[in-house]
Amino acid sequence: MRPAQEAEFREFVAARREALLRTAYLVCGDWHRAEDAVQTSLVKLYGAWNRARSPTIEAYARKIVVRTLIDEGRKGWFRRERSFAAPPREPHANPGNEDRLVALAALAALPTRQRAALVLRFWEDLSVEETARALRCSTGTVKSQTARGLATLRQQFQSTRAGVQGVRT
Amino acid sequence: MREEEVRGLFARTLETPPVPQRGTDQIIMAGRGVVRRRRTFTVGGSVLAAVVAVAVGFNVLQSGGGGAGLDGAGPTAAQWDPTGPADPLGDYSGAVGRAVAESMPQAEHDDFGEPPFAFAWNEDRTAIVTEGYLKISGGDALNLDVTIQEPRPGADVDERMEALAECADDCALSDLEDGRRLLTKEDQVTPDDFGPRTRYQAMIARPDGTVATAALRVDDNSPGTIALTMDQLIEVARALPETSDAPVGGPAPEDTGSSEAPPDGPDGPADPDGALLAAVENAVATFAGGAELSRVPYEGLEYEFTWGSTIGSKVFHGLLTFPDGKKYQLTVEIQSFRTKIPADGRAQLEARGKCGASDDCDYSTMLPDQTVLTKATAAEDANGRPVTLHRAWMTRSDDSFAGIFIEPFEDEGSAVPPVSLDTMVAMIGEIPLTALGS
Repeated sequence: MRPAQEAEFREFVAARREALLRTAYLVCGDWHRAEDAVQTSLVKLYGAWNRARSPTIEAYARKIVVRTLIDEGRKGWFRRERSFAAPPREPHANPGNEDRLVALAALAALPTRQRAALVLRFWEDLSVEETARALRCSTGTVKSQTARGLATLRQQFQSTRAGVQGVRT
Repeated sequence: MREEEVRGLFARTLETPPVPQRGTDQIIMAGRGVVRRRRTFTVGGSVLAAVVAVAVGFNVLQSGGGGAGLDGAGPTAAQWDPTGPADPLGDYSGAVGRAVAESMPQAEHDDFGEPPFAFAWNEDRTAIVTEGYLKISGGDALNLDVTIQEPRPGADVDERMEALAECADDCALSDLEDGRRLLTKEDQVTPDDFGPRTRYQAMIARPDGTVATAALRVDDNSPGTIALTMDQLIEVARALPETSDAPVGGPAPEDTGSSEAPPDGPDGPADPDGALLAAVENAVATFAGGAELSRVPYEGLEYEFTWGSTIGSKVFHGLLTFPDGKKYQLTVEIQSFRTKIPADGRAQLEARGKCGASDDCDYSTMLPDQTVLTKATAAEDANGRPVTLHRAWMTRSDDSFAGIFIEPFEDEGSAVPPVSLDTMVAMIGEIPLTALGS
């Protein structure tokens, strides 16, 4: 890679790394896994930098991040482990944190692909087709995963909120 | 739940991200290593592919030309085996690459740094799929999707193809040579605000019971139309080999090379002299109660240490089969400390172990520089039955830690692994220090 291109890559990393990290975190619910996935993806992106088109480079980077997390979840010890079996221990827990705990617990109930579909559709504002490309699946699968994810989320969100409020009282 | 409520839910879960543990310089160094290895791999892979092509051609000539029969008997299990790599010899990726180059001369394939047209299994392992990005000179960029559907001998091929293409009186069926059937479809899709765009699909039902599909659509990020013809697309679908000539799935070839890219990491193999793998094999033989260690039959999991996804890490996946037939997946990881997190051993293991409410975690100190974390996690298998996952990590004198995980494999193991956490700690002790390149 020429120095000018490497400088462009550095600029991209500086500008977009945090956004990619947030997306990865929303997909997996774990900052360490998110950070690993973003690192891996940026290394791959470096290798493709010469050929990537600048208007699509961010979409491409996001696609690698999501696929990395999904592929990681298919193998190894992540297969049956959810990111949080229960709301995580919060050393600085306070009443203002309650909403976050409820949200985390509700999201943790989602399988990775459903969660990724929701993040790409509603956080990244991707179209169904774009989400299907990122997840390597059909548009029909995206629609069904989104619908299932929303239903699960609704159910989990309500029951978890009730549980947390019960504990507090 | 409405879209804005979901966005609000996501927003509430976010907090300030941690400071990245690796800087841009380290990412660039790792990226340079990937580029160098890819160049080496490409040269070596081309030679191997040529050797394989010659060997395959020789076999075809010897057998009188090869090709599937017309009786619809379908491939043997060995020719279509949904275990192992989707395209173990690279036959299908090579065929797509050649067909694009020959049939679509105005298209330039962009692999974005990934192996070109590398096939992977679909979600339910009923088809192998790949995708490509084609830049057309003077036209819009196109997405090419290629799929080989599993063999279904005896099925009504017209019905099957119409279902796959989601036909609604907009498909054309015709005969090709040797009993093959062709379905073509041109429709409009509206993926976003750019408006409707044309999509072409060419689908061929073959005598081996498989269905080969090639589809083109305009790239999501550029409005326009398809600057290639349906005939060009059909040529791509026709070029895909049949299972009688090219196996799908099955065990990975041992000496034929692979179309998969090497894992990311520093230059060179993760375990150049095999010392790490030998140590794991020795630890299993010594401590694992007569279990046999073999390759995990998952695509992409080779029987060797590879560089992990985390910079400065190595990982190994193996399958443990115990004398009673129960199977467990063994994972060994070695990772350098995360320098931006407090550097003492316990903090490192806390960050890695992520003990939660459903985990039984225990810390102990063996030597001043050896902190041990054992973790037993109550989980559920795919059928909802309770299982226990055993993990153990130990810090080492070189600011790294090693970990071993044993979990039931494909629900074939017992609820509790037959190797105790203490035994797993002893196994970790057998793993030698190694350069982690971070």
